[in-house]
Amino acid sequence: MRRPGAVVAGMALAMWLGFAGEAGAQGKPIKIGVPQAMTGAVGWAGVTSTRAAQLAADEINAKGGINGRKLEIVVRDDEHNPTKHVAAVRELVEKESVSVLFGPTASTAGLAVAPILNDELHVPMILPYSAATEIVWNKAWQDKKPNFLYRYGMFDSGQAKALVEFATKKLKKTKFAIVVENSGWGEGGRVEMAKTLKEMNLTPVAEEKFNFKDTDLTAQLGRAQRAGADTLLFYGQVAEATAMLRSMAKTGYRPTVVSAWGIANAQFWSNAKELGEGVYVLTTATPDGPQSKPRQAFVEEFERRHGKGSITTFPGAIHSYDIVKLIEIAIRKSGSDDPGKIRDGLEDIPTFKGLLRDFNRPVFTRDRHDALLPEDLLMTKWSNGQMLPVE
Amino acid sequence: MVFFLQLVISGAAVGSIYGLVAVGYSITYTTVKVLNFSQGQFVMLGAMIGLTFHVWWSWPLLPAIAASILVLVALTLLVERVSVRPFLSAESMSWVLSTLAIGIIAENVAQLVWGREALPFPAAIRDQPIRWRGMGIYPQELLIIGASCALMAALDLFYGRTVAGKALRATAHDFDVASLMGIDVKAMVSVSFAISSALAAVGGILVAPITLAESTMGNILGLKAFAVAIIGGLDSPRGIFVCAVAYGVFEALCAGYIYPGIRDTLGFLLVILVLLFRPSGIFGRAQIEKV
Repeated sequence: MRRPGAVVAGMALAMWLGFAGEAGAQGKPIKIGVPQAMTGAVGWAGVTSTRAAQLAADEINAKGGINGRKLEIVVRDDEHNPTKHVAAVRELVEKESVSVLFGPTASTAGLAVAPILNDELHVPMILPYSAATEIVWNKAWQDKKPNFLYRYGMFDSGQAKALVEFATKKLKKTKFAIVVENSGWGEGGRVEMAKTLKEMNLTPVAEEKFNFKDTDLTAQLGRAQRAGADTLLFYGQVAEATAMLRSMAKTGYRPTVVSAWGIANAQFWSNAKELGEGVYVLTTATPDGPQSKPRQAFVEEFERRHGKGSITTFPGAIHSYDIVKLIEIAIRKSGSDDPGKIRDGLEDIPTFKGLLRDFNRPVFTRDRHDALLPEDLLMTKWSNGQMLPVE
Repeated sequence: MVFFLQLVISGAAVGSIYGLVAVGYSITYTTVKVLNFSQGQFVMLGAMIGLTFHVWWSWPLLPAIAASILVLVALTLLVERVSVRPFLSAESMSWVLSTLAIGIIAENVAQLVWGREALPFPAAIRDQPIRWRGMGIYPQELLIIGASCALMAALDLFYGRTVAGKALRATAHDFDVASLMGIDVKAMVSVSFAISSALAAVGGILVAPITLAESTMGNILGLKAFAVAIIGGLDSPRGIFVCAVAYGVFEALCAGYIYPGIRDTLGFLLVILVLLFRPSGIFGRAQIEKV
């Protein structure tokens, strides 16, 4: 009995020594927490985000990491649920001691977690997905207190504005029907678009809502048509957008459709097919049309790892990749993985060449935590299965 | 007028979808006084299994329907054996919970097997709307209205005119007496579940081109179908069809003339009102419990 005991003790000691040696301040990994939906209806978004983040981290680690320390991506499934998201964030910060966080897939989760990060946990979070304006332009920002939320992606105030400006200025339309899904996101879009129209002294001729899983939108469309709308400003997802286009084909009412980014994915075309032809959709980036060299390299590497067509959301993937690169720069600049220092570092990036775009301005400033401006958003048009940029 | 007629047409098409799903509730209820609360999910499974045969493996439609019916019936018989029969013989109401649980399991399994996205399902017939004077309907929708109507009529005849149908209803009336009359009660329970799942398979394949095949498609379908089954009268297939179409038209008119957001509120309010005045549904026979 004695001998095995001694062996175990010896092994434990050796392991402890070995581990302690590796876990010195020098070699300890820097952790990035990714609390997003990995399962459920939008699980594909979290999975793609994680894979892109891991790809960026692997690139950095292959070059020796940051000052000899490796980046580690720590994933939690929040199931697109605000309560679970808050719990996951707490666990990541308190148990895993992550230095910085990715934002959630759900806007409601972002709204729930923002005050907790600002008032209590003080760890920066960068959002690749959730677009609700108030997540980033939150109470701490209003009160001029430290704001730990940053966004590198689509944002609703800019989205609504860009949709309305495109429809009024480029398409020269005036008779709008706002058609949105019955959700927090849809309602937010409706309010912002109506507000922007009002600023231009325009009023939508109709405002219509539909529910998830609605298969027939002839009622909403008929109301829009009777009100004389020639353009629909649309917030919705693939299934309902398809139902709407099919309903249009029934009656032959075919207004111009200008849509938020809910249908900026290949899934839309495989459902709507030719009916989707000519639909305008706003996005941050499109995988179709000519691409830059770094983007081509990224897509190639991603698909080599996970298979062809595995990038379920192109914008989501490149946002996530760029976010890890921004974190790298922030840590190098501030020379520390302390969450507060990373926050300072993020606001000290004067220019940045990302997959998304080249920034010839600071990515974030103390006062502006949205990386993109309304004019950075990209209007595309569905044509023959491709989302091509509109000149 | 065109707007009104279009709403009626669209509503009737949507209502027939509810009716097609609702008939499943009716069958098990009429025969063994059990409601299969996973009916919506069974329709979803029908659509998914049909999709596997028809789209993934490129089988022609009719063999794919037949195969889906076989698979789903086999699955249902198994489910009935483990989640309904034990409670029925114990005269317990726990089948309510167990059928709900089966629905949740079905949905999760479907997510694992077929993924979480809405999958397109090709229409059985030409997928171009038939249009006339600014109104329109898809041939698939006409097919659903027709199939729904035909199924209900067939069931009405089956219950009223055939020995097997009468045996099923006798079973519902009283297990013990039916059993004494030489009716194999257990077999009747199995038969009723088999018929309802066969119809779910057909229903799933018929509605999927309109609703898209999706793991969560059963939720709303199951709920709305339950509502129309209750209004129509669970024991009256004819009543369910009439009320399903009427309910769909009512929804469409509410959405068209009042406000789309108020549709479900008014719809379910109507259900409560009907139940208040006709607890057995508009076409249902009043339950008289003789003591």
